[in-house]
Amino acid sequence: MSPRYGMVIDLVRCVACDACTMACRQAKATGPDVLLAKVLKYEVGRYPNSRLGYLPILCNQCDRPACVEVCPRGAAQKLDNGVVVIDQDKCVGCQACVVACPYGARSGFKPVAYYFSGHQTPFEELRARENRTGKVQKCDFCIDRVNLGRQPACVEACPAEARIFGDLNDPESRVSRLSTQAGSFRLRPELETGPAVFYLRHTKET
Amino acid sequence: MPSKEQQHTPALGPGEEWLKGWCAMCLANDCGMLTRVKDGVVVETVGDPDCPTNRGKLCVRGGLSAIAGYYDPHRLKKPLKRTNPVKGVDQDPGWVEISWEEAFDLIGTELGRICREDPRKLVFMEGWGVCDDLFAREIWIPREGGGTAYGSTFSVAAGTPNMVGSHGPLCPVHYAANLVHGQHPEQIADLEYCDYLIAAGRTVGPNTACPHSTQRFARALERGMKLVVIDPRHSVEASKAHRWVPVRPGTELAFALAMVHTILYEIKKFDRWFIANRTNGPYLIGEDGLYWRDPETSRPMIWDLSEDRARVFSEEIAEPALEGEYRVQGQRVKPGFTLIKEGVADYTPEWAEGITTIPAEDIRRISAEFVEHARIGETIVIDGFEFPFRPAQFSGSGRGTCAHKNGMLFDLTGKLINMLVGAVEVPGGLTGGMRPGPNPNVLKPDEDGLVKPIVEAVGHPFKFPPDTIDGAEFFPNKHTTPHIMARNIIDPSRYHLEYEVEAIILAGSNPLRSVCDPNLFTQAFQKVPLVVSIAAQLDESTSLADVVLPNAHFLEKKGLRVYKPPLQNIDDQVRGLEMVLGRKPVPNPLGIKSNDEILYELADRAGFLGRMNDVINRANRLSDRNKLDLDRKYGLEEIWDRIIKDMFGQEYDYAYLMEHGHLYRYISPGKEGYNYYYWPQNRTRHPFYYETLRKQGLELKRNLTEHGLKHPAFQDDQRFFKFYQGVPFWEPNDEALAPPEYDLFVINWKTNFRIHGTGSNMGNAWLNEVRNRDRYETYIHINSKTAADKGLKDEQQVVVESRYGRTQGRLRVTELIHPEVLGIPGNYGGPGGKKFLNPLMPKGAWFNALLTADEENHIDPITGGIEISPKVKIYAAPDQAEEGGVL
Repeated sequence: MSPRYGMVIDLVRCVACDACTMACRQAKATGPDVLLAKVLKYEVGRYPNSRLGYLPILCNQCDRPACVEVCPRGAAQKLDNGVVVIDQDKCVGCQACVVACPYGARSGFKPVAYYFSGHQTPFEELRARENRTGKVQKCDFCIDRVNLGRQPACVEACPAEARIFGDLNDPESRVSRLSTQAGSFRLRPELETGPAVFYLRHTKET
Repeated sequence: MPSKEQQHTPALGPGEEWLKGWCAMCLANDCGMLTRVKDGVVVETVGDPDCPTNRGKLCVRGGLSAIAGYYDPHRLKKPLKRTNPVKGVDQDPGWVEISWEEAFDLIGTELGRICREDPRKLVFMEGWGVCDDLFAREIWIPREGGGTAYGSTFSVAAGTPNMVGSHGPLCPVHYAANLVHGQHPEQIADLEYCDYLIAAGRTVGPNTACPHSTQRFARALERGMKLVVIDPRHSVEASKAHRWVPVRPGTELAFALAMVHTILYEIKKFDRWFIANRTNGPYLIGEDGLYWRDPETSRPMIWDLSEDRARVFSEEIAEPALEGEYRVQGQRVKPGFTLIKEGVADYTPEWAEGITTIPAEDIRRISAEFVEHARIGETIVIDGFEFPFRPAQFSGSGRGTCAHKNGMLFDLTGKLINMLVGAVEVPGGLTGGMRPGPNPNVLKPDEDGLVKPIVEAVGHPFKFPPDTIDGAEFFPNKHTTPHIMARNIIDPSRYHLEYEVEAIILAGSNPLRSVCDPNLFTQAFQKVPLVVSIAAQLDESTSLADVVLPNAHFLEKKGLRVYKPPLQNIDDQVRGLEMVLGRKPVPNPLGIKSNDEILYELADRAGFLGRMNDVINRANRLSDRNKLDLDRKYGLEEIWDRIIKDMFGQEYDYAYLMEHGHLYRYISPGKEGYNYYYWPQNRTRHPFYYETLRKQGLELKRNLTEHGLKHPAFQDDQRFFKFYQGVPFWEPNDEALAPPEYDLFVINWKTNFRIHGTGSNMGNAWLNEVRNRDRYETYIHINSKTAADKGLKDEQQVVVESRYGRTQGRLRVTELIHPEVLGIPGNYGGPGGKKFLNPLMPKGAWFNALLTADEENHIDPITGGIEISPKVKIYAAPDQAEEGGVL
């Protein structure tokens, strides 16, 4: 059976430090203003009974991805392993998928820009092919890396070891055990998109 | 431990290589790191999974953003010389590029002349920008004829007493640990066993996202450790806490005093055995506040209730008295414990509530939980050795609590809280934070039976006329005081100095931004004939230099890092770890030199290379076999080889480190990992009554009187000397006296994006992008109720104004901060001169604009640290005003 890749993010361990954001920025070499992993922060309650909340987000690699459905050119594709990718040669940058994604996980095209105005670094030059003006970008669980036997960049980097990546089809995998334990949740379940990203809150591994 | 599936399996393509090294983007400098280079281009950085500290992890600020720093076109590339003689932050220095040879010649000749004439005229100022180098960092080495020489390898070799850190005055957190634990830089939280941790005004790891502190913290939480966060703002750590306790800034001392009161007068349960046997609590104190000493042996005495007489502390004393008043040779004496107990008699929770805004019931509840979790009387056996087991800690040595005028009184009171439950240097308690970790020398008692004070607690020797530019003779227990230095450069007569500063070398140091009163530093640098700055990019202080020497990016330089224990928390993962880290550098096409290369070359040009080699030998305690010859100029790798061989054996060298990145062993495993093991039972004692402080105050007073002097910083000496007491006491900050229009306090904290300015993280393009989209990072924080009362709105441009300065920024209305407090995180904005700086320097309000270095009213008389919670007012910004800076 083909694997179904998924991720669990343990919010008890997460310290909202943005290491995932930066690791993704480096691994995907995205241009300015394009971040495929982010940490959202919010507040709960009124002072002094208030609390800081945080939610690291990335593409949910949905079972029923709205982005794939709306793509007029078949550029957005769902792979057998569950990862949703964009065929950059087919993408025309219409951004229908950006609008359709209920999680805001896609970044619409921006003219390719460099971090230092008027100056392309050797790093940017080497990775330029991956950042093409007029194309849509998204998280793909670092599938090229995963195929080489590595973990997604955000998982490798997470100082709190709050991210667990693996095969949801393997019932023995850690990600399977954690994603099915009591207290795990997914974002906007009412949409029935079937996200492959699960969150844990106030629960312990059993 | 990271699970197997999280380990990297880095794959290499053609033309690719993984280079071993370590990350230099915070003070700790201890995360192993791998850098992938493809055909000369740096393409990836990841944590080194084999490094025992970070175990494959890096932080947002750290190695993960390093590529943007390495390729930053705004980096300095060539030495620069000023052509415009007029210095000022808004003056174009008229830089011209010069060769390294010309720069070394120019500086070396001048340093040589100064050091021959009077080396005191040279000031060496180091900042965190060079904390991955060896020759600029703080060292303490035995001085010929006794005492310890403080400085850097370079400054000690140059012969100047004037090594001044630009990083310390807002973070004076060392004195109490130096005194009570005999350790430096501070004691740290043992998370292996701790069940109840009170963190006051500090982080224990996650707030600054240290990869390995965060791993240990997460494990402790999973183990069930309870965390209490005492802080005016709700941090990430507070979000994990069992209790978040907002407090009025600068009043944490009142909270701590009330905890001592509650434990002694209400709970009435404390570790009596520990106080009687492991502290000077039973030592008899005379009416002068000093130990009552045996006339024959001159040793301190204890009242033995079983014999109803005073006896020398080192005798077997059946029943040491902790309480009461006794008469010895007609004098009234009391045990130190009694003086402490009497001292806190009035500090009730109700009293503290009025000062701190913490409800009295919360103070009672926290005190009770703390004592309960400390398990007084219980023991734990490790490797067959029985330790007291005290899994509760009051961790207070943080800048949020210590950087107040009463900050060191707070830290000393925090130490009392830990000692009352015996949670000192035992499993579960606050424990060893000093390299090379726990060992038989740490708690070794002095002739009075007490842990020997070190570093700042030793007390700088008095001398008149004084030698030091930063006031060490008059603040004998101070931390770093660049603010006093700046004033004394401008007017040496203030502190009776008989020389003028002729050269200052800034090494990775930017005091205009990292201290306060930038105009003071501008004036000082205008007056000094030769200002040299070793810097990675043009910053505010560098724009006032005469000569600028570029410092290599850490990825492109070779270097050696000797591991020091972590600053935030510890567990068995790193306890007793001895490690060196080395680096195989990425291409350095412009041949930019490292700070160590620069300083070694300057020592040669200035004619003190032999002394440099001698100090390297002594600072690294090199054995005869590996000592440097004094008359030879070495390559840096040869020097590192010898340090490595001396630590790990002759078979190792720098080439090995380039191949493997690090070399380590655990030198104090198991029971040897706790300092109690080496000096158990009553074989050593911690100071509970702070006689040393009292004694040093009296000595200074005597010395001043002898020379017909007053304290140079104080109109009224009493305002200084009252701090030098054996018993901590409540002292309100002068900010409480601010006019009522200054109706709020302001606070500052280090963040995951900006903890120290190392590795040029301030101008890092990737980091800038992520921090600029953070909901809180570059904002001015205000409580929603306070904002409503003042008619201020979220995202509005506002001005925050203290009695000393103003700054402007965007407002974040939040529920996560005390209603009387504004928060300005990080060190953004800046003191101006932006025209000539790296254009990426971050925007935002500049907290330090609101501070003052005025000695008499706003610095801690013990540490010399600057009060960091001034009273302020806030108002809508006028339309034309610009964000950041001093207006």
